[in-house]
Amino acid sequence: MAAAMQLNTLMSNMFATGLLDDQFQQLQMLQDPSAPDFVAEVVTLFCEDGERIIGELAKLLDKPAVDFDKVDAFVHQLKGSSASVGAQRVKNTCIQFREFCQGKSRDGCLKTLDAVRNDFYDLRSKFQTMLQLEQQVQASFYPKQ
Amino acid sequence: MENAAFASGAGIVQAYPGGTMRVLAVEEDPAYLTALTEMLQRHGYQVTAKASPEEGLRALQDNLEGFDLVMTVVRTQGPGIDGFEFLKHAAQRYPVILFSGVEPEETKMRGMLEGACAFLTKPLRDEEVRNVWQHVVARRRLNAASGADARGSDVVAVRQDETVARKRGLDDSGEGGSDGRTAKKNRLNSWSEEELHAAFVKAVEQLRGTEGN
Repeated sequence: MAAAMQLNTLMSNMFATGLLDDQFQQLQMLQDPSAPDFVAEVVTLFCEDGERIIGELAKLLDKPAVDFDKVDAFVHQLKGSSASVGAQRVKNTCIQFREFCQGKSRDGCLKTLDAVRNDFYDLRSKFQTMLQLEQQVQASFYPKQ
Repeated sequence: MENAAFASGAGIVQAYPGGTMRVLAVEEDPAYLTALTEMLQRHGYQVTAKASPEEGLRALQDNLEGFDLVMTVVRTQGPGIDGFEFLKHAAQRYPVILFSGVEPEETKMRGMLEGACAFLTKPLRDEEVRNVWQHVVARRRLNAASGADARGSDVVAVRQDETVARKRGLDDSGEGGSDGRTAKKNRLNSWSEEELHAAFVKAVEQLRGTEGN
């Protein structure tokens, strides 16, 4: 019961602070007994792919001559991926990031990369907690014999 | 009873002639590919999921009759073709739905002009995914109608051409057999509408015996 309450509090907080939007609720609605790990799978894939994209962005912005088109393409990818899972804050930061890409501002891009990284890692951490709490809730309803 | 069977999207999709509708879904974002696949399957579609337009094209080439509909992301980062290039190949045979993040209207127009039957914005809404079967049915109806029209105009044009040739007493040796008719039909297929109309008018005048008067 404690795990369930913590999970509810966590989810409410994630929506209330704008970390998640209703697209995440759409994903939650797709989870059912025929696809019990659906949300975990999608969230895990998002986190892995997001980590990869942020790594690519850091490499591109570290070069002496920045290819802003490539940077923009990766940010566009991260923005799309965030929108698809309901990661609202990451998505919104990506929108700002793209403006700096289109303005070819290296400083702006670097600052926004830090912001995206912080938002992404914050979300990832909360997703990990969410998945752990879900497992605990499942275990309390369906204890192993 | 029939209305109840069609009340869910899955009912309509599974009542499709030939069985369940088969969708080739192409998306580079692994999380969204998983979500889209689940949404389609939830609505009764049989889904083949591929992680790039390059892989999607190979899937089509390996199994020409294996799909009823293609859904593909437009923008890609990986090597190989993008969604627009994939569209050029796939749209020859299948209805193709493009999807992407927010795109300018010009990009959507490009997609429609290059053969897509729809250009949707990610993340797709549940009812958009549920209703993709409509594009399959619309395309089948279009194919059936254009196939019937083409056969009809070919027959009319060939008969008129043969009538004109007989009236002129032209020596069409080598063109009287089935090869000749095929050769005529092929020439007619390359005529413009204006040329066909002019030939028709000439044929009518000849039949009336009014040419040259």
